[in-house]
Amino acid sequence: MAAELHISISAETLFSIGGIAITNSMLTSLVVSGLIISFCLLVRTQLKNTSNPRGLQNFAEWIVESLHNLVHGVTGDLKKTRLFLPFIGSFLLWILLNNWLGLLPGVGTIRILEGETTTEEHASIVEQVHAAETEIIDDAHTQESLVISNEELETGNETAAAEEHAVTAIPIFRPGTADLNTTIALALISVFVTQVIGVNALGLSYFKKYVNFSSPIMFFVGILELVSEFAKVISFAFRLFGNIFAGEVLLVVISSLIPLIVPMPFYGLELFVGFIQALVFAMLSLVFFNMATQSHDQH
Amino acid sequence: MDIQLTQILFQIINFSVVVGAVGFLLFKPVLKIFDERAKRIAEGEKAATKAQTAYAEIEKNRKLTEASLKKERSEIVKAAQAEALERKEAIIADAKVKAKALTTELQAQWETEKIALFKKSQTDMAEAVLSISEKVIASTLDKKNAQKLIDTELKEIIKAL
Repeated sequence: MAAELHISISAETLFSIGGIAITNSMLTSLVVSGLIISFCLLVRTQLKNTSNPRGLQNFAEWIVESLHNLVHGVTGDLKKTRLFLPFIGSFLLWILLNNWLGLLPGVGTIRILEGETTTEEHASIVEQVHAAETEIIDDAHTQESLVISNEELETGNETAAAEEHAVTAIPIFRPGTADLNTTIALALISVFVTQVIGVNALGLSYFKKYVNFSSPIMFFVGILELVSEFAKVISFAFRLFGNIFAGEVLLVVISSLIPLIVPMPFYGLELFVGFIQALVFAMLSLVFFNMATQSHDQH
Repeated sequence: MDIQLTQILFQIINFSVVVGAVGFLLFKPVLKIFDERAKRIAEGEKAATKAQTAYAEIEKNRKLTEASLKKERSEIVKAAQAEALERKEAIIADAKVKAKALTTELQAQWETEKIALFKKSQTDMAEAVLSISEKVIASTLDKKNAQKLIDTELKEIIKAL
């Protein structure tokens, strides 16, 4: 039970490369990135300029057209749409796949043992735990009684728990978006790209939004705008992280309580939440991108 | 919550690579195909509009020609009817003339045949009279007396006629 209810708010380190700790969420994110890039490469190689697309090209065109229409519905300007589309599309696809990957069997459940002990020691500990359990059952049989006393069971469990504390089982995969570092990175990218798009569209006058001496009220509004940029990072990061991590915890708890059938509706709910959160992140970024291209007077 | 700058940087780089790949490998070529397809559709629509205009023009001309042909046809029919009437009258007149001539010819032929028949009946009658006379006289006339008798009888018949 202790192994099944493994909940850690931060991602766990699997190994280190050149002093950089590679966590399970980073590994999952790399897998997602690999999947997306492989898909793009596959589409690129099979792309034909035809009026009757089929198969993979049809699917890719459906994705691109849907995203294009989504972005164009907000911007209403083809130039802006083409500029924002790669970012918004990537946000949506990357976050969505990260969210949904956490629902796959094996993600969060396939683990490696990690701790201060060596592999031989792990094996020895596991053997000792099994031996203790067998001993308790044998004793009960010797006494011609099938009832095992609570004291004996508690003693056995305490021994096993004590041994397990020395060893930690770390999931190999953890959804990228269930790690605050990932969501902060995404939020920083979103806010940074917003600034770049703003400067690109309005030039240096974009910064009038933050520093405006035309009136005391506008000066105060500028300060609020500046604060809101930092608030955006926090809001983006914690919204996504909170929702996905909470979903993961919910599934782990429900699955450990009643493993059969009962978790299924929650999986359905998490599929929905995963999509909604990806959409919310992408749409908010899109709205901020679009607002950044409008001068402060237009607001 | 363990916030690590290295992990944040790693994820920023990771996501930036994805944005680049998605932009250059997926969105850019697919949008290019969309643009070319939209161009083809616009050209097709333009050609269709042009063809539709041309079709409307042809239809208009067809209707005009059809009306003109109807008028012409009606005139031709009228002229033909008039000509046919004229020819009919001419044929009837010609037939009447020919019928009259034929009637006259037949009448003349009839007269000739009537005379010939009359002459033949005279001869037949003379022969009958001769035969009867022979039986009455009960003797056979010699050739000379017979001829004399015939001549006498013929003269009387001719006189009677």
